[in-house]
Amino acid sequence: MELFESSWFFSMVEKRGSTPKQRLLAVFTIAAEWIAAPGLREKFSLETVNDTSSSQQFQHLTAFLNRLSVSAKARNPAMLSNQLALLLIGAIAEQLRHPEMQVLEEAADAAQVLVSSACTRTFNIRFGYGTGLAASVLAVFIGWHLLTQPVMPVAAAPQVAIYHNIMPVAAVRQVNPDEVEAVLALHEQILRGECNAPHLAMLPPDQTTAYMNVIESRQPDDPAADEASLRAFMAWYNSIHAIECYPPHTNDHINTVWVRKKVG
Amino acid sequence: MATAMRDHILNVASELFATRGINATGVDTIVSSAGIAKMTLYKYFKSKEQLIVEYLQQHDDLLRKGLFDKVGTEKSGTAQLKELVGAVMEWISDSEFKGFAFINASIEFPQSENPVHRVSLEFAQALRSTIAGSAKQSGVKKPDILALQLSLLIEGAAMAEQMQRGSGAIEHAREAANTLINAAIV
Repeated sequence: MELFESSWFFSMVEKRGSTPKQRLLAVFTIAAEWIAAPGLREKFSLETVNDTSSSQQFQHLTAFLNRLSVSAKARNPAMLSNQLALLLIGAIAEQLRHPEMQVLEEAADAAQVLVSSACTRTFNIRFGYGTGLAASVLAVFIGWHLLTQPVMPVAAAPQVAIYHNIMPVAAVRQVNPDEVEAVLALHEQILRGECNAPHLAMLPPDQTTAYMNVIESRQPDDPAADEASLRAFMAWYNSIHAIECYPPHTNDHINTVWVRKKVG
Repeated sequence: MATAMRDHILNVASELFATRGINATGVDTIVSSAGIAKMTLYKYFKSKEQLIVEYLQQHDDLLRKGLFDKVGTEKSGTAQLKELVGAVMEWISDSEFKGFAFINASIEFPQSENPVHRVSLEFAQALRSTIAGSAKQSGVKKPDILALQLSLLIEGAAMAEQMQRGSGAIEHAREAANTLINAAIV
Protein backbone atom coordinates (compact mmCIF):
# COMPACT_ATOMS: atom_id res chain seq x y z
CA MET A 1 0.00 0.00 0.00
CA GLU A 2 2.29 2.69 -1.32
CA LEU A 3 0.29 5.48 0.28
CA PHE A 4 1.75 4.60 3.65
CA GLU A 5 5.31 4.42 2.37
CA SER A 6 5.26 8.13 1.75
CA SER A 7 6.10 10.73 4.38
CA TRP A 8 3.85 13.05 2.37
CA PHE A 9 0.76 11.30 3.68
CA PHE A 10 1.78 11.52 7.30
CA SER A 11 2.92 15.15 7.07
CA MET A 12 -0.38 16.10 5.40
CA VAL A 13 -2.28 14.47 8.24
CA GLU A 14 -0.16 16.31 10.80
CA LYS A 15 -0.89 19.63 9.10
CA ARG A 16 -4.59 18.99 8.63
CA GLY A 17 -5.55 18.61 12.28
CA SER A 18 -4.67 20.87 15.16
CA THR A 19 -5.38 18.22 17.82
CA PRO A 20 -4.50 14.52 17.94
CA LYS A 21 -8.18 13.58 17.63
CA GLN A 22 -8.56 15.74 14.52
CA ARG A 23 -5.45 14.15 13.04
CA LEU A 24 -6.81 10.67 13.67
CA LEU A 25 -9.86 11.59 11.58
CA ALA A 26 -7.83 13.54 9.01
CA VAL A 27 -6.23 10.24 8.02
CA PHE A 28 -9.47 9.35 6.26
CA THR A 29 -9.85 12.73 4.57
CA ILE A 30 -6.33 12.73 3.23
CA ALA A 31 -6.70 9.15 1.98
CA ALA A 32 -9.93 10.12 0.18
CA GLU A 33 -8.26 13.13 -1.45
CA TRP A 34 -5.31 11.04 -2.46
CA ILE A 35 -7.46 8.41 -4.14
CA ALA A 36 -9.53 11.06 -5.90
CA ALA A 37 -6.47 12.79 -7.39
CA PRO A 38 -6.46 12.62 -11.23
CA GLY A 39 -4.64 9.62 -12.59
CA LEU A 40 -3.84 8.11 -9.24
CA ARG A 41 -6.61 5.55 -9.26
CA GLU A 42 -5.35 4.13 -12.53
CA LYS A 43 -1.81 3.95 -11.24
CA PHE A 44 -2.83 2.38 -8.01
CA SER A 45 -3.10 -1.34 -8.34
CA LEU A 46 -5.95 -2.87 -6.41
CA GLU A 47 -3.90 -5.97 -5.99
CA THR A 48 -1.34 -4.07 -3.98
CA VAL A 49 -4.03 -3.42 -1.38
CA ASN A 50 -4.34 -7.13 -0.82
CA ASP A 51 -0.71 -7.90 -1.35
CA THR A 52 0.88 -9.50 1.65
CA SER A 53 3.93 -7.29 1.04
CA SER A 54 1.72 -4.46 2.27
CA SER A 55 2.24 -5.77 5.78
CA GLN A 56 5.10 -3.37 6.45
CA GLN A 57 3.12 -0.36 5.24
CA PHE A 58 0.22 -1.45 7.42
CA GLN A 59 2.57 -1.49 10.37
CA HIS A 60 3.79 2.03 9.49
CA LEU A 61 0.21 3.19 9.43
CA THR A 62 -0.66 1.51 12.71
CA ALA A 63 2.45 2.91 14.42
CA PHE A 64 1.56 6.41 13.23
CA LEU A 65 -2.03 6.05 14.43
CA ASN A 66 -0.79 4.66 17.71
CA ARG A 67 1.30 7.78 18.36
CA LEU A 68 -1.73 9.94 17.65
CA SER A 69 -3.94 7.73 19.86
CA VAL A 70 -1.51 8.09 22.75
CA SER A 71 -1.50 11.87 22.28
CA ALA A 72 -5.30 11.83 22.13
CA LYS A 73 -5.24 10.03 25.50
CA ALA A 74 -7.15 7.03 24.24
CA ARG A 75 -7.83 4.48 26.97
CA ASN A 76 -6.31 1.73 24.85
CA PRO A 77 -4.16 3.36 22.14
CA ALA A 78 -3.06 0.04 20.64
CA MET A 79 -6.63 -1.06 20.13
CA LEU A 80 -7.85 2.27 18.75
CA SER A 81 -4.96 2.55 16.30
CA ASN A 82 -5.51 -0.99 15.08
CA GLN A 83 -9.25 -0.43 14.69
CA LEU A 84 -8.73 2.75 12.68
CA ALA A 85 -6.12 1.08 10.50
CA LEU A 86 -8.48 -1.84 9.76
CA LEU A 87 -11.27 0.54 8.92
CA LEU A 88 -9.02 2.59 6.66
CA ILE A 89 -7.56 -0.26 4.61
CA GLY A 90 -10.99 -1.84 4.25
CA ALA A 91 -12.40 1.49 3.09
CA ILE A 92 -9.58 2.12 0.63
CA ALA A 93 -10.09 -1.30 -0.94
CA GLU A 94 -13.82 -0.72 -1.22
CA GLN A 95 -13.38 2.83 -2.53
CA LEU A 96 -11.09 1.59 -5.26
CA ARG A 97 -13.63 -1.01 -6.32
CA HIS A 98 -16.50 1.48 -6.17
CA PRO A 99 -15.25 4.91 -7.21
CA GLU A 100 -18.82 6.13 -7.43
CA MET A 101 -19.42 5.60 -3.69
CA GLN A 102 -18.23 7.87 -0.89
CA VAL A 103 -16.99 4.97 1.16
CA LEU A 104 -14.18 6.85 2.90
CA GLU A 105 -16.66 9.43 4.17
CA GLU A 106 -18.70 6.70 5.82
CA ALA A 107 -15.49 5.24 7.21
CA ALA A 108 -14.59 8.67 8.62
CA ASP A 109 -17.96 8.82 10.38
CA ALA A 110 -17.34 5.39 11.86
CA ALA A 111 -13.84 6.50 12.89
CA GLN A 112 -15.32 9.46 14.72
CA VAL A 113 -17.51 7.12 16.76
CA LEU A 114 -14.52 4.92 17.59
CA VAL A 115 -12.31 7.88 18.54
CA SER A 116 -15.03 9.47 20.69
CA SER A 117 -15.68 6.20 22.45
CA ALA A 118 -11.99 5.44 23.02
CA CYS A 119 -11.13 8.92 24.25
CA THR A 120 -14.15 9.50 26.49
CA ARG A 121 -12.97 10.16 29.96
CA THR A 122 -14.22 9.14 33.30
CA PHE A 123 -17.29 11.29 33.98
CA ASN A 124 -20.63 9.78 33.14
CA ILE A 125 -22.52 12.18 30.89
CA ARG A 126 -25.76 10.46 31.87
CA PHE A 127 -24.90 11.20 35.44
CA GLY A 128 -27.43 13.88 36.29
CA TYR A 129 -26.93 16.80 38.59
CA GLY A 130 -29.13 15.22 41.24
CA THR A 131 -27.17 12.02 41.19
CA GLY A 132 -23.90 13.88 41.44
CA LEU A 133 -25.22 15.89 44.36
CA ALA A 134 -26.46 12.80 46.13
CA ALA A 135 -23.17 11.09 45.56
CA SER A 136 -21.41 14.13 46.97
CA VAL A 137 -23.54 13.88 50.09
CA LEU A 138 -22.61 10.21 50.31
CA ALA A 139 -18.95 11.10 49.88
CA VAL A 140 -19.18 13.69 52.67
CA PHE A 141 -20.76 11.11 54.94
CA ILE A 142 -18.12 8.58 54.12
CA GLY A 143 -15.47 11.16 54.92
CA TRP A 144 -17.19 12.08 58.16
CA HIS A 145 -17.39 8.48 59.26
CA LEU A 146 -13.77 7.96 58.39
CA LEU A 147 -12.81 10.84 60.61
CA THR A 148 -14.97 9.89 63.55
CA GLN A 149 -14.88 6.12 63.68
CA PRO A 150 -12.14 3.51 63.76
CA VAL A 151 -11.65 2.17 60.30
CA MET A 152 -10.21 -1.07 59.05
CA PRO A 153 -7.50 -0.54 56.44
CA VAL A 154 -9.17 -0.65 53.05
CA ALA A 155 -8.19 -0.06 49.46
CA ALA A 156 -8.27 3.48 48.11
CA ALA A 157 -10.81 2.65 45.39
CA PRO A 158 -13.36 0.37 46.96
CA GLN A 159 -15.17 -2.07 44.78
CA VAL A 160 -17.14 -5.14 45.61
CA ALA A 161 -14.36 -7.48 44.58
CA ILE A 162 -11.99 -5.65 46.87
CA TYR A 163 -14.51 -5.72 49.67
CA HIS A 164 -14.77 -9.43 49.34
CA ASN A 165 -11.02 -9.71 49.52
CA ILE A 166 -10.52 -7.51 52.51
CA MET A 167 -13.74 -8.31 54.24
CA PRO A 168 -15.17 -11.67 53.42
CA VAL A 169 -18.83 -11.84 54.20
CA ALA A 170 -17.97 -14.19 57.02
CA ALA A 171 -16.28 -11.27 58.80
CA VAL A 172 -19.72 -9.93 59.64
CA ARG A 173 -21.07 -13.40 60.00
CA GLN A 174 -23.69 -12.42 62.48
CA VAL A 175 -25.40 -10.30 59.83
CA ASN A 176 -27.28 -12.20 57.16
CA PRO A 177 -24.86 -12.39 54.19
CA ASP A 178 -27.73 -11.74 51.78
CA GLU A 179 -28.31 -8.31 53.34
CA VAL A 180 -24.60 -7.49 53.13
CA GLU A 181 -24.41 -8.67 49.52
CA ALA A 182 -27.40 -6.55 48.58
CA VAL A 183 -25.89 -3.40 50.06
CA LEU A 184 -22.49 -4.05 48.51
CA ALA A 185 -24.07 -4.66 45.12
CA LEU A 186 -26.02 -1.42 45.41
CA HIS A 187 -22.93 0.46 46.50
CA GLU A 188 -21.03 -0.84 43.49
CA GLN A 189 -23.85 0.36 41.22
CA ILE A 190 -23.67 3.79 42.85
CA LEU A 191 -19.91 3.92 42.33
CA ARG A 192 -20.41 3.05 38.66
CA GLY A 193 -22.99 5.79 38.34
CA GLU A 194 -25.83 3.41 37.59
CA CYS A 195 -27.91 4.24 40.66
CA ASN A 196 -28.49 7.33 42.74
CA ALA A 197 -26.68 7.46 46.03
CA PRO A 198 -29.00 7.59 49.05
CA HIS A 199 -29.21 10.82 51.02
CA LEU A 200 -27.80 9.40 54.19
CA ALA A 201 -28.66 12.52 56.15
CA MET A 202 -32.31 11.77 55.55
CA LEU A 203 -32.12 8.18 56.71
CA PRO A 204 -32.82 6.97 60.24
CA PRO A 205 -29.46 7.01 62.07
CA ASP A 206 -29.47 3.25 62.66
CA GLN A 207 -29.78 2.64 58.90
CA THR A 208 -26.98 5.09 58.15
CA THR A 209 -24.72 3.37 60.65
CA ALA A 210 -25.58 -0.10 59.35
CA TYR A 211 -25.02 1.03 55.76
CA MET A 212 -21.68 2.59 56.63
CA ASN A 213 -20.65 -0.46 58.62
CA VAL A 214 -21.06 -2.57 55.50
CA ILE A 215 -19.36 -0.32 52.98
CA GLU A 216 -16.58 0.56 55.41
CA SER A 217 -16.05 -3.08 56.39
CA ARG A 218 -16.69 -2.47 60.07
CA GLN A 219 -17.79 -5.08 62.55
CA PRO A 220 -21.22 -4.00 63.82
CA ASP A 221 -21.79 -3.48 67.53
CA ASP A 222 -25.22 -5.04 67.27
CA PRO A 223 -25.38 -7.39 64.25
CA ALA A 224 -29.05 -8.21 64.71
CA ALA A 225 -29.99 -4.51 64.77
CA ASP A 226 -27.77 -3.83 61.74
CA GLU A 227 -29.39 -6.67 59.87
CA ALA A 228 -32.84 -5.26 60.50
CA SER A 229 -31.66 -1.78 59.56
CA LEU A 230 -30.09 -3.01 56.34
CA ARG A 231 -33.26 -4.85 55.43
CA ALA A 232 -35.31 -1.71 56.09
CA PHE A 233 -32.84 0.42 54.15
CA MET A 234 -32.92 -1.84 51.11
CA ALA A 235 -36.70 -2.05 51.18
CA TRP A 236 -36.89 1.74 51.29
CA TYR A 237 -34.29 2.14 48.54
CA ASN A 238 -35.94 -0.42 46.30
CA SER A 239 -39.32 1.22 46.66
CA ILE A 240 -38.12 4.80 46.11
CA HIS A 241 -34.86 4.90 44.16
CA ALA A 242 -34.33 1.58 42.39
CA ILE A 243 -36.57 2.65 39.55
CA GLU A 244 -34.10 5.43 38.76
CA CYS A 245 -31.18 3.05 38.26
CA TYR A 246 -29.69 3.00 34.79
CA PRO A 247 -28.85 -0.31 33.20
CA PRO A 248 -25.13 -1.10 33.14
CA HIS A 249 -23.23 0.49 30.28
CA THR A 250 -22.70 -1.86 27.42
CA ASN A 251 -20.95 0.35 24.89
CA ASP A 252 -17.84 1.09 26.92
CA HIS A 253 -18.38 4.79 26.34
CA ILE A 254 -18.17 5.79 29.91
CA ASN A 255 -16.52 4.74 33.08
CA THR A 256 -17.31 6.58 36.25
CA VAL A 257 -15.21 5.77 39.23
CA TRP A 258 -15.58 7.53 42.54
CA VAL A 259 -12.28 7.44 44.25
CA ARG A 260 -12.15 7.97 47.95
CA LYS A 261 -9.12 9.98 49.02
CA LYS A 262 -7.19 8.76 51.97
CA VAL A 263 -7.83 10.78 55.08
CA GLY A 264 -4.91 11.83 57.16
CA MET B 1 -20.46 -40.76 -10.15
CA ALA B 2 -20.96 -37.84 -12.50
CA THR B 3 -21.70 -35.58 -9.53
CA ALA B 4 -18.67 -36.90 -7.68
CA MET B 5 -16.40 -36.04 -10.61
CA ARG B 6 -17.93 -32.59 -10.94
CA ASP B 7 -17.43 -31.95 -7.20
CA HIS B 8 -13.87 -33.22 -7.43
CA ILE B 9 -13.01 -30.81 -10.25
CA LEU B 10 -14.69 -27.92 -8.46
CA ASN B 11 -12.90 -28.66 -5.19
CA VAL B 12 -9.50 -28.88 -6.86
CA ALA B 13 -10.11 -25.67 -8.79
CA SER B 14 -11.39 -23.88 -5.68
CA GLU B 15 -8.27 -24.75 -3.72
CA LEU B 16 -6.06 -23.51 -6.56
CA PHE B 17 -8.06 -20.29 -7.04
CA ALA B 18 -7.91 -19.55 -3.33
CA THR B 19 -4.22 -20.24 -2.88
CA ARG B 20 -2.69 -19.14 -6.21
CA GLY B 21 -5.23 -16.67 -7.48
CA ILE B 22 -7.79 -17.08 -10.21
CA ASN B 23 -5.86 -15.55 -13.09
CA ALA B 24 -2.71 -17.39 -12.14
CA THR B 25 -4.51 -20.72 -12.28
CA GLY B 26 -4.81 -21.98 -15.83
CA VAL B 27 -7.06 -24.77 -17.05
CA ASP B 28 -3.99 -26.95 -17.61
CA THR B 29 -3.06 -26.61 -13.94
CA ILE B 30 -6.55 -27.57 -12.84
CA VAL B 31 -6.60 -30.56 -15.16
CA SER B 32 -3.19 -31.70 -14.05
CA SER B 33 -3.95 -31.25 -10.33
CA ALA B 34 -7.27 -33.04 -10.66
CA GLY B 35 -5.65 -35.89 -12.60
CA ILE B 36 -8.19 -35.71 -15.40
CA ALA B 37 -8.24 -35.04 -19.14
CA LYS B 38 -9.08 -31.56 -20.37
CA MET B 39 -12.10 -33.01 -22.16
CA THR B 40 -13.44 -34.25 -18.82
CA LEU B 41 -13.25 -30.75 -17.38
CA TYR B 42 -15.14 -29.28 -20.32
CA LYS B 43 -17.70 -32.04 -20.07
CA TYR B 44 -18.79 -30.70 -16.70
CA PHE B 45 -17.91 -27.01 -17.04
CA LYS B 46 -18.43 -25.11 -20.27
CA SER B 47 -15.63 -22.69 -19.51
CA LYS B 48 -13.20 -21.56 -16.86
CA GLU B 49 -15.56 -18.67 -16.27
CA GLN B 50 -18.34 -21.07 -15.26
CA LEU B 51 -15.91 -22.81 -12.95
CA ILE B 52 -15.05 -19.47 -11.33
CA VAL B 53 -18.69 -18.51 -10.86
CA GLU B 54 -19.45 -21.88 -9.26
CA TYR B 55 -16.41 -21.51 -7.05
CA LEU B 56 -17.77 -18.15 -5.87
CA GLN B 57 -21.20 -19.68 -5.34
CA GLN B 58 -19.70 -22.52 -3.30
CA HIS B 59 -17.76 -20.05 -1.16
CA ASP B 60 -20.89 -17.99 -0.60
CA ASP B 61 -22.90 -21.08 0.37
CA LEU B 62 -20.25 -22.13 2.87
CA LEU B 63 -20.06 -18.63 4.33
CA ARG B 64 -23.81 -18.37 4.71
CA LYS B 65 -24.09 -21.83 6.22
CA GLY B 66 -21.26 -21.03 8.61
CA LEU B 67 -22.97 -17.81 9.67
CA PHE B 68 -26.53 -19.01 9.97
CA ASP B 69 -25.54 -22.16 11.85
CA LYS B 70 -23.92 -20.02 14.51
CA VAL B 71 -26.31 -17.11 14.74
CA GLY B 72 -29.48 -17.73 16.70
CA THR B 73 -32.58 -16.18 15.19
CA GLU B 74 -34.33 -15.83 18.51
CA LYS B 75 -31.93 -13.18 19.81
CA SER B 76 -33.42 -9.76 20.39
CA GLY B 77 -32.11 -6.21 20.08
CA THR B 78 -28.56 -5.89 18.89
CA ALA B 79 -27.55 -9.33 20.18
CA GLN B 80 -28.26 -11.04 16.87
CA LEU B 81 -26.40 -8.40 14.87
CA LYS B 82 -23.37 -8.62 17.17
CA GLU B 83 -23.48 -12.39 16.92
CA LEU B 84 -23.64 -12.21 13.13
CA VAL B 85 -20.63 -9.90 12.92
CA GLY B 86 -18.85 -12.06 15.49
CA ALA B 87 -19.49 -15.14 13.34
CA VAL B 88 -17.98 -13.39 10.29
CA MET B 89 -14.93 -12.47 12.37
CA GLU B 90 -14.65 -16.06 13.53
CA TRP B 91 -14.79 -17.19 9.90
CA ILE B 92 -11.93 -14.81 9.10
CA SER B 93 -9.83 -16.01 12.01
CA ASP B 94 -9.99 -19.64 10.86
CA SER B 95 -6.54 -20.86 9.90
CA GLU B 96 -8.01 -22.11 6.59
CA PHE B 97 -9.32 -18.66 5.68
CA LYS B 98 -7.77 -17.41 2.45
CA GLY B 99 -9.72 -14.23 1.97
CA PHE B 100 -13.26 -13.62 0.81
CA ALA B 101 -13.45 -15.26 -2.60
CA PHE B 102 -15.78 -12.61 -3.99
CA ILE B 103 -13.47 -9.78 -2.92
CA ASN B 104 -10.40 -11.48 -4.35
CA ALA B 105 -12.27 -12.19 -7.60
CA SER B 106 -13.46 -8.61 -7.98
CA ILE B 107 -9.86 -7.47 -7.57
CA GLU B 108 -8.63 -9.90 -10.18
CA PHE B 109 -11.42 -8.95 -12.56
CA PRO B 110 -11.74 -5.19 -12.12
CA GLN B 111 -13.63 -4.57 -15.38
CA SER B 112 -17.18 -3.78 -14.36
CA GLU B 113 -18.67 -5.53 -17.39
CA ASN B 114 -16.88 -8.81 -16.65
CA PRO B 115 -19.36 -11.50 -15.50
CA VAL B 116 -17.00 -12.65 -12.73
CA HIS B 117 -16.75 -9.08 -11.46
CA ARG B 118 -20.53 -8.70 -11.52
CA VAL B 119 -21.14 -11.96 -9.70
CA SER B 120 -18.48 -11.04 -7.13
CA LEU B 121 -20.22 -7.76 -6.40
CA GLU B 122 -23.55 -9.53 -6.03
CA PHE B 123 -22.12 -11.84 -3.38
CA ALA B 124 -20.44 -8.93 -1.58
CA GLN B 125 -23.73 -7.07 -1.68
CA ALA B 126 -25.60 -10.13 -0.39
CA LEU B 127 -23.42 -10.30 2.72
CA ARG B 128 -23.89 -6.59 3.33
CA SER B 129 -27.65 -6.92 2.87
CA THR B 130 -27.71 -9.72 5.43
CA ILE B 131 -25.95 -7.43 7.91
CA ALA B 132 -28.26 -4.52 7.02
CA GLY B 133 -31.32 -6.74 7.52
CA SER B 134 -30.13 -7.75 10.96
CA ALA B 135 -29.32 -4.11 11.78
CA LYS B 136 -32.80 -3.05 10.74
CA GLN B 137 -34.31 -5.75 12.92
CA SER B 138 -32.19 -4.48 15.81
CA GLY B 139 -33.76 -1.04 15.56
CA VAL B 140 -30.77 0.74 14.03
CA LYS B 141 -31.81 4.05 12.50
CA LYS B 142 -29.60 3.87 9.42
CA PRO B 143 -29.06 0.14 8.86
CA ASP B 144 -27.52 0.49 5.39
CA ILE B 145 -24.87 2.90 6.58
CA LEU B 146 -24.02 0.76 9.60
CA ALA B 147 -23.88 -2.32 7.37
CA LEU B 148 -21.44 -0.55 5.06
CA GLN B 149 -19.26 0.56 7.97
CA LEU B 150 -19.24 -2.95 9.43
CA SER B 151 -18.39 -4.38 6.00
CA LEU B 152 -15.39 -2.06 5.75
CA LEU B 153 -14.24 -3.20 9.15
CA ILE B 154 -14.71 -6.85 8.17
CA GLU B 155 -12.78 -6.38 4.95
CA GLY B 156 -9.98 -4.56 6.76
CA ALA B 157 -9.82 -7.33 9.37
CA ALA B 158 -9.71 -9.98 6.64
CA MET B 159 -6.83 -8.18 4.92
CA ALA B 160 -4.93 -7.68 8.18
CA GLU B 161 -5.44 -11.29 9.19
CA GLN B 162 -4.00 -12.43 5.88
CA MET B 163 -1.01 -10.13 6.34
CA GLN B 164 -0.31 -11.45 9.79
CA ARG B 165 -2.13 -14.30 11.49
CA GLY B 166 -3.08 -13.81 15.12
CA SER B 167 -2.20 -10.12 15.18
CA GLY B 168 -5.20 -9.29 17.36
CA ALA B 169 -6.94 -7.62 14.43
CA ILE B 170 -10.00 -9.83 14.77
CA GLU B 171 -10.58 -9.05 18.42
CA HIS B 172 -10.05 -5.33 17.86
CA ALA B 173 -12.38 -5.37 14.87
CA ARG B 174 -15.03 -7.19 16.89
CA GLU B 175 -14.74 -4.55 19.64
CA ALA B 176 -14.99 -1.78 17.05
CA ALA B 177 -18.07 -3.40 15.52
CA ASN B 178 -19.77 -3.54 18.92
CA THR B 179 -18.95 0.12 19.52
CA LEU B 180 -20.42 1.11 16.15
CA ILE B 181 -23.53 -1.00 16.74
CA ASN B 182 -24.11 0.47 20.18
CA ALA B 183 -23.66 4.00 18.86
CA ALA B 184 -26.03 3.37 15.97
CA ILE B 185 -29.01 2.57 18.16
CA VAL B 186 -28.71 5.64 20.38
